[in-house]
Amino acid sequence: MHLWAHYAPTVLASFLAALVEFVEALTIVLAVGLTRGWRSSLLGAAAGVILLALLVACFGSALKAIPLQSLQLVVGILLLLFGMRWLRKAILRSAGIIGLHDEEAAYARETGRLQSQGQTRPAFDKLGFLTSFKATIIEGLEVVFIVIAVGSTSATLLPAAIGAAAAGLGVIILGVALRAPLSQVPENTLKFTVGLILTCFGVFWIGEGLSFPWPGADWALLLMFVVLFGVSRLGVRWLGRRNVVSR
Amino acid sequence: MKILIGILREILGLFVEDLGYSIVIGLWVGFVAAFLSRGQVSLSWRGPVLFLGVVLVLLENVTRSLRRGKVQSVETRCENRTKTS
Repeated sequence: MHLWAHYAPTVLASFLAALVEFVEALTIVLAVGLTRGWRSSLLGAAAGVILLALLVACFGSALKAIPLQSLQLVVGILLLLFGMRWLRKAILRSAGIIGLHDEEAAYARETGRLQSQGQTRPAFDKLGFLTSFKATIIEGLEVVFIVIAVGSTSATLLPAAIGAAAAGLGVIILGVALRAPLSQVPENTLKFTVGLILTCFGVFWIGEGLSFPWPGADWALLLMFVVLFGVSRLGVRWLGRRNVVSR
Repeated sequence: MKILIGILREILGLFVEDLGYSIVIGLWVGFVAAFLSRGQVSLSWRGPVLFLGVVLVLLENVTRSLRRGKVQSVETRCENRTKTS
C-alpha cells in the first residue's frame, strides 16, 4: 500500500501531463506533414527529440550534484507555479469564463498559416522542419520538466519516465492510425487532473524542502488532492452560476 | 535567434501566465519560508497552513478572473452598441 501511494501519483501525473503535451505536438506535426510534406515534418520532430534527449542527459546528471533539500524547494516552487497555472485555467474553462481548447481549431489554424506561406514542396522544406522542431521542443520540454520534477525529488524518475513514454507511444500509435488531430481527448479534464496533482506535489515538496513534517507522510498528498479537488469543483459550480447570472 | 527567443518565452510561459497570480504564489511561499519556519506555528501545522494559503490564492484569482471577464464582456457589449448605432 505504501508503494502504491509512493509510485501511483508520479506515474499518473507524468502520464496525463505527457498525454496533453503529446496530443498538442501531434496536431502541429500532422499539420506540417500534410501541408509542407512528411519528410521535413518528421525530420523536425526527430531533431527535437534528439535535442531533448541531450538536455535530459545533461540536466539529469547535473541534478545529482544539488543537495536534496534545495532541489525539493526549487522543484516544489516550479511545480506549484506550473500546476496552479493549469488548475486556474481548467477551472475558468470548466466554468465557461474562457473558451475550451479546440484541437481541431488549432489544427485548422496551423494548416492555414503554413498554406499561406506558399505551396511549394521541395525535398527539404525549412519552414516545415522548423515548425515541427519548435513544437516538439516546446511540448517536449514540458514533458521533460514534469518527469524530472515529479521523479527526481522522490527517486521515482524511472516510473515517471515510464508514464510519459506510455503516453507518447499511445499518442504516436493513434496519430499514425487516424492521421487526424486527437480532438476526442478530453484535454480540459486532463489539465484539471494534472493541475491538481502537480499543485499537491508542489506544496508537498516545498514543505519537505523547508523541513515541515507532513501529517501522514506520503498520504498527505492524497488528502491534499481530495481537498483541492473538492474546493475546485465547488469553485467551478459557483463561478459557472455567477457567470450565467451575469450574462 | 527568433526561434530561440520564442522557445525561451514559451518556457517562461510554462510557469507564468498571469503575472499577478505568480507573484502572489511566490510571496506566499516566501512568507511561509520566512515566518512559519521561525517557529511561530507548531511544526505539524506548517504544511497544512502552506496548503491552505495556496487554496486561498487560487480561489481569489479565479474570482478576480470572473470579475475581469464580466468587465470585458460589458465593454465588448458597449463597443458593439456604439458600432451598431
